[in-house]
Amino acid sequence: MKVIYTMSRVFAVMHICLFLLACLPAEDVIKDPIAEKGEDQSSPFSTDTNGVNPEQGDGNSQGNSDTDDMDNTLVIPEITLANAGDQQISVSWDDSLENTKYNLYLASESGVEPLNYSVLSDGVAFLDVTSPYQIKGLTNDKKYFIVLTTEKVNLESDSSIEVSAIPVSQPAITVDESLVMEQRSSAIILAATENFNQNENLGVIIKAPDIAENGAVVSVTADFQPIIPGPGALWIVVPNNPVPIAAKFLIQPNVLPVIATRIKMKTSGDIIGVYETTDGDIYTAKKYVNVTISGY
Amino acid sequence: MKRIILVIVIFLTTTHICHAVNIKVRAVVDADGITQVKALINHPMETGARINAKTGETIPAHYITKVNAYWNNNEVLHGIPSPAVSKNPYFSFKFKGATAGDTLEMSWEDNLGNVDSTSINIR
Repeated sequence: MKVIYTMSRVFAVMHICLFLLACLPAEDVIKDPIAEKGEDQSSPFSTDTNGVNPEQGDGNSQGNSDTDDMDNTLVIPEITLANAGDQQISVSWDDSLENTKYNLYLASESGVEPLNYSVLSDGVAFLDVTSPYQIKGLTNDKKYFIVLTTEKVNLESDSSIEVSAIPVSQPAITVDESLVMEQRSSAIILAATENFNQNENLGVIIKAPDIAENGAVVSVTADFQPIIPGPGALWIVVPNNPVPIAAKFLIQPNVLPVIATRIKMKTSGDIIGVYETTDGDIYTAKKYVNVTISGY
Repeated sequence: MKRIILVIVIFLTTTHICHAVNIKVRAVVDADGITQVKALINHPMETGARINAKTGETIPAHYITKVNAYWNNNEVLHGIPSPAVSKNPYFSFKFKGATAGDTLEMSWEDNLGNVDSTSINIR
């Protein structure tokens, strides 16, 4: 009994420690990913003296700065999205502030600022622009760094957290297109069941066990790398399941068309991988799996 | 009495461990500049078709509807799993462009509105 009592005390201490540990990541998780990046920098909403550029802020006398506090509040902006496309980057931000101009600074070196952009390689400034802004004429496969500032009555704020993007020859798939793909489920199931022989000689691999003893956990790897399909969507289809589409993944231009996951299977049958490119080409490959115990 | 306390403490300890780690992610960049990401999510992935043997009631569906990974504001994973993905889902994918030390953010949401996310450094 004494042993149990001491053990329970040890566990109690462990429990308190674990509880404290458990609390810490839980707080991090809720934070906005973009805000999280800037934790070490000043808050995106810090105002006034922090935001005013020391050189340009000289004109403000000490006495005035108190009374003009509300009008001259400079908000450090935040770039919400930097989407790379073909020789271009589309930059978006919240441009709801009134009487405020937005300036973008771009360079192919890290550490771009309003003061130093001209000395950095490929340094360019885009003054008084609106969101979303497309920066065109860039070199593909080169990393560009972008910051955003706000300007009000000739006073410029500190720059936003720096973001980077690499233009690629193929544009990223937008969310709208993915929604279209959602509606294509039935067409994909049809393509999977009818055209499964289409590309079996092209080296596309669906890797799965020959015999799955537990149908609840069947490892599957769909590897469409041999056909170099470009961006699109990868579907894993199990025609014998009550829900034939097991999973779909969008493959962006910088993502390789190979996905591994674990799925459930109700009966023995095929696992079919379907790759649909943005041009509408469909590639399929299949693998028969013998299921011992139904897992759906 | 002490035994009851012990049982409660063990129960709470284990539940806290389960809640603390909901996404385990590992991302390693190789010599060719290709990053391999392996992610394991703690989730029941109930299909809605299973029946509780004792009560005869259907266990309601509870599954992940969206899983995302972002590197540098680039979406590198946009997965739409169905209930046919196994319990505690595992996803592995590869992408180009990242360097060691970059941040990878991963998040999911399920059909009951639960969300979770984590961020790790690519090694």
